[in-house]
Amino acid sequence: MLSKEEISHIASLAKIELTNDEALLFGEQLSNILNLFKEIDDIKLDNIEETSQITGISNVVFADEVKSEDGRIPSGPKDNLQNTPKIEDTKILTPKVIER
Amino acid sequence: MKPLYQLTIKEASDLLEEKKISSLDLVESVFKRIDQVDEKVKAYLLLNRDGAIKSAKLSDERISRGKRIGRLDGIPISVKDLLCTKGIETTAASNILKGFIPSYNATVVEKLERAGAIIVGKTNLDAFAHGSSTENSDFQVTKNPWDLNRIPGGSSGGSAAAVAADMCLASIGTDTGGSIRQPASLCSVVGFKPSYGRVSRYGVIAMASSLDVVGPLAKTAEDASIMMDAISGPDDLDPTTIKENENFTNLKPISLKGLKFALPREFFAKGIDEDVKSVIMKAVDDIKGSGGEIVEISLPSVKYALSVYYIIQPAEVSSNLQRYDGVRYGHSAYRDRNDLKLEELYTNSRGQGFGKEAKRRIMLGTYVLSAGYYDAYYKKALKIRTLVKNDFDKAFDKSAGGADFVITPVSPTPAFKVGEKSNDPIQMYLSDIYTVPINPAGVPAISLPAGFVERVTSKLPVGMQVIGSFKDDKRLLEASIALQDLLKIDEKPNL
Repeated sequence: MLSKEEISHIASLAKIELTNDEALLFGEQLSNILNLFKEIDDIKLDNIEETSQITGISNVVFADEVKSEDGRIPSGPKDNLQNTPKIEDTKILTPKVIER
Repeated sequence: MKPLYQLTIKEASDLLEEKKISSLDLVESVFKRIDQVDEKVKAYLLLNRDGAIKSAKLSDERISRGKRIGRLDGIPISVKDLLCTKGIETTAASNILKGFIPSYNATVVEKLERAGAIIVGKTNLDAFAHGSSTENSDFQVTKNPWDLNRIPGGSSGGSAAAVAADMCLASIGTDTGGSIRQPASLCSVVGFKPSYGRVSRYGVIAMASSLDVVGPLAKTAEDASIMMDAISGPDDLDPTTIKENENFTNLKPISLKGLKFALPREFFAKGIDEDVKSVIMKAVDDIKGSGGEIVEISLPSVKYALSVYYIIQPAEVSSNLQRYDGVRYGHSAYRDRNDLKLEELYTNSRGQGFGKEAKRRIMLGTYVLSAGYYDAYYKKALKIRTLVKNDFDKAFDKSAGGADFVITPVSPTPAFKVGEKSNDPIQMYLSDIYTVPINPAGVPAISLPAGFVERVTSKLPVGMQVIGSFKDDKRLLEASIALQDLLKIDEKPNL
């Protein structure tokens, strides 16, 4: 069973504020789910490689140029900032990042 | 003639071509149907009425000039609200993205529009595609058209219900662990999960990037191939797309005679509803009767696939959902308050904006990736993923007498009741047990209507899953067209 401290540590890593009820509920539910994973504890996996994706494709690169002629890439800050909570001209506002 | 909204893409396309109907007739018929039944089914989150009518008129104009683009020109379809549509609200059925207006189209949406398809609306889903019942939508619960007390499956439940209830001719869904196939099965429509990388993910709100695929839900396998013809192919904007372009134009059924179909015994063991099993075995008998060879195989590592999936998927979810920070877009605690510190802006925005299932998955994913647990869970899951993939490689290895296709059930039970599993995440996760092993292996799979089981108050659909080898999408669809001709399940729900 995950402790209250563990849940609050995970929540802080995940940057989510949980209510007390949520912390209790997730503590129990996550413990049950982790319990389910016990079945993989004893599998022998020496010399087995990891698969993080199945295409085998690696290092795909393309030229660093703006291609907006077909309208696929947003044309400018006006398009890009239409959903932004707080802006000033074309700048995104946030609370102070570095405290003096 | 049957009402226009009941037509398949193929039928409607032929009628449009012969100028016997107009696209406007077709689109208006679909909206009329939506007005009649969606109050009960609740498949749509948003209707694009004006835009669709405008596009239909443009399509009719092209047709009258003899300039029809292709078989999707003038055809009304829907799109899961996980795909960005330029200028049209896209929410992932989540509160955190409520009101979000994309500034660009997903590649799939762009391709559909260029093919002349008409998007009538955005369909409901479990928020961020997290779920198997569409009950996790932050806005509404979609009902199964076959029994309005039951769930349509998920996460593409709105798409499956909309196709089953004739509220569009076909739809676009996404599948990370069964989200196209399971709702297709529970609603008696065709749901195709292409090979990983066959269809661009650009502009699709990310769930688990190494597992996510986009694909069609349709009334027939032939219609699914018409949709694939439009949406598949490499995309510079998604570097994980498969480089070779597969041609899905005018696919014809292939003969089942001599094809080898394998039944993995792990998928027919404990946990499966006996009635569901009977429906699948009856279909298997029919395949045998038409000359298909049936063999039994074992996929020994697949029994770990559920654990592997529920480690890898939340890990990727926790990473992908970090972008919802309340700073750039989406729900923000900062909109109404100026006194927040940066950290509070993040934690409050995310705490208020995400629903329970998203939080649960972010927490689980963060845990399995955290120091001290990474090796025990995440790294181990990646290794077992290799074993699962090897199982499928071996099953399809022709040089070792492997099969052409693997057949399994899609879901261990027919559609369950609304509320039955919504408070028990593990029970909900277990309902994906036959679909999740496919995504870590990246292979293509389809859900085809296979029959029905009788329940006290209703008759509930059962789908059969047919799995092909990696990149063998075209042959899987050709075989599916033949299988659908053989199984002949074409009943409609009574709404």
